[in-house]
Amino acid sequence: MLVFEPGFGKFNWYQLQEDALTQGSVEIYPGKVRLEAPGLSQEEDRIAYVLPHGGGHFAHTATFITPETLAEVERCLPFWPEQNQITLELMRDGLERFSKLPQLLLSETAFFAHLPAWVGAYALPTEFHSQGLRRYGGDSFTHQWAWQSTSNELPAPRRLVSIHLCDHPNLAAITGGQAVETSLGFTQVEGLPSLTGSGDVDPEIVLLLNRQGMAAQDIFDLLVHQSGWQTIAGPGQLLDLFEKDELVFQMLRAGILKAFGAAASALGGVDGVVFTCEERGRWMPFIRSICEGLAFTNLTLLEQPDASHQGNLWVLNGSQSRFKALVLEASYARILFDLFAGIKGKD
Amino acid sequence: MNILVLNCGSSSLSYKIYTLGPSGYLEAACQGKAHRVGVQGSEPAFIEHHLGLETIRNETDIPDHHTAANLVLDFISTHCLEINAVGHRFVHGGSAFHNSVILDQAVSQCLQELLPLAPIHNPNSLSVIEVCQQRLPGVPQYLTFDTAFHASLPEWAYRYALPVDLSHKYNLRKYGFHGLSYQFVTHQMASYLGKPFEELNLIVCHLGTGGSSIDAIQKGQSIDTSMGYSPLAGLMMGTRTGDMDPLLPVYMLANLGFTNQELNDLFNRKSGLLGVSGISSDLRDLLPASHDGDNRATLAVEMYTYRLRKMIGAYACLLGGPDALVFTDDIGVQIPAVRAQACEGLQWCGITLDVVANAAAPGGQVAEIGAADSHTRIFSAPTDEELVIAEEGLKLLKEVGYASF
Repeated sequence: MLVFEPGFGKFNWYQLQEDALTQGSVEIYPGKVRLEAPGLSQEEDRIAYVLPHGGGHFAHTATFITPETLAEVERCLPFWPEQNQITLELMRDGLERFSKLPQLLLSETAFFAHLPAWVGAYALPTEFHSQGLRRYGGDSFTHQWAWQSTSNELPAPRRLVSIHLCDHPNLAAITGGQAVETSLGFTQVEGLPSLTGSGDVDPEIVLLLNRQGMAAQDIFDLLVHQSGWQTIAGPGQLLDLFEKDELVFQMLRAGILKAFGAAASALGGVDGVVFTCEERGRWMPFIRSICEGLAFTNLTLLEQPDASHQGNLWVLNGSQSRFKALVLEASYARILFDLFAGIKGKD
Repeated sequence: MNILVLNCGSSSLSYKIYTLGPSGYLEAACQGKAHRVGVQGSEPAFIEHHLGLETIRNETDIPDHHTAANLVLDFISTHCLEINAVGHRFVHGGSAFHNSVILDQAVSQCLQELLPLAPIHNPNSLSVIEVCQQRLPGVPQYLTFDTAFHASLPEWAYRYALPVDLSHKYNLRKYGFHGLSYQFVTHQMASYLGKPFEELNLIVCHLGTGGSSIDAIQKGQSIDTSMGYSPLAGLMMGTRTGDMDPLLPVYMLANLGFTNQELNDLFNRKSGLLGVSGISSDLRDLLPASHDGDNRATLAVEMYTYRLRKMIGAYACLLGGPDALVFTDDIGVQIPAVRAQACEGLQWCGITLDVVANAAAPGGQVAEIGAADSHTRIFSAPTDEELVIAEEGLKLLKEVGYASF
């Protein structure tokens, strides 16, 4: 299986086979965007495209692409224009050149398609709710995978707070396999900062900057490309930044603690928290610090994390704890493979 | 020795005249409030005065805060009440003011620059100050700031992840508001709980009919709060949106053809409980409407209490289990159903309401409403911003050596 995922000014490819997960990226230059990946041929099992913002159009994380799918993706463009545009162009090229292969659209917002009304709405007059101005969430694959990987470990009623520790940390509250809250919003800018995305900012600031002469497109660039963790501690991966910069560590810790508290309250209680990350060893001091902050809920920690039979799952909590604290270690490629390689359909 | 305290709301002007008694305590000798200032609507504006046991109510045109201030001063001169100092609440002190100050030429200059920071509140306060300067020449005036209590916010709390030069240019940071109220409640809870102020960890929910916010207080100091650079951010409010994705206004400017002024008006005056319900900005109207089956009223109440509940859970984790959770201001003390819904399902973080005590809590005094097994104690407690303003004034005037104080 070959998966294409848009970035900013580039796209990433993932070659997924049971015994070999490889990945790379391709820079985009002005002109037509073409599918590219090593060994790309008519022999692929299937091709899939990640859509960062599905704008309420896709209720399943994976959809087999039909001619109507292109029109639906076009309708999602305004929500997250730069990356959705790349996905659209990759799809057009792929459908033209590999028309015989089964092709999938993977929506990063689909897992949050059924947020309760009071969660999804902003406090705007209701006529705006129906115009698409609502919360869509994001990072569906990681949270859906985290639920699938841990739900059997949770005591009933299995309310999970899923925390994705990566360059753009974000959370989901999940129960019964359904996401009921997210730290992301109308776009993935809401919530905690990313490397270059601002995270939550008083909306009055947007209006102020606009009054000072900044056009909407310039404010978009500011909040999406020129803000975030890099403005606190310079360029680099978040792991590097918080290891060297105390302020980043404090902002991240306060942000995650608050978002956890909000998510657990949204669930009306919590049966488990799972931290999903790539470099478990380097994230562990941070994860411990978060768990120590939750000691008032009777969360106690084992001296050594207990590795489960699954291989990539660790149990942190002691037996006195009222909820489980778990760590999952996985790459994005592994998550894509686990979720989508086995999908049966057109082939 | 009388201090006139003036408190400008977005659509009201409250005043109290405090007398310094022989025992050194401040007592309110006279008070009143101008209602529906600058509000267009079916009900008329009016001003009420309480002097001794007497209440005087006048329905009259009150198009702005300037007029309201003149009505207050008319009443004072008619009743020959002596005023020795005037204290004002100024909502946004920006980066310039971390403490209360006596009004002088330099301060006046600074206030002009703060007007855009709180476009609803600051200009009203300034117009009231100007009326007092004209009509009470020679009487010292001073200012207290709603942002001052939040001067203690640590950098991790006040910093936005925006470019440093831009933040410096426009003083972009979280300031926080309702500081006078938080200051009052924190001191009151310290004496109520018999715990030193400096050791107190609290979550305080200031739920007003107009603005609402929530504060995390650690060791007596504000360490995080829901309002931000302006009073628009945070909880859902009467007519204000509270938090939203910052790209939402960007999208509305770029794709839906809104002007800046229209969005400003929409977010500040037509959203919140009013926008979602379509009928009222006041929970006292929406709860009965919801009970009668109005779906939009139900959604508005659910959103309001849900967002409040999430913030309480968030601050419970930030503080690692606070000593107490306090509900204050009009909505906070008067509507048990709001407190009940806000605390629903928070047992996981040690917050359990006593349903009976909550329903029975009298609005006018501190009432404990938490269950016996609630790890965090829960209270309904009225606030008194005007008393804080008067106390600040007394302190300030003594410091600068006004002989009569």
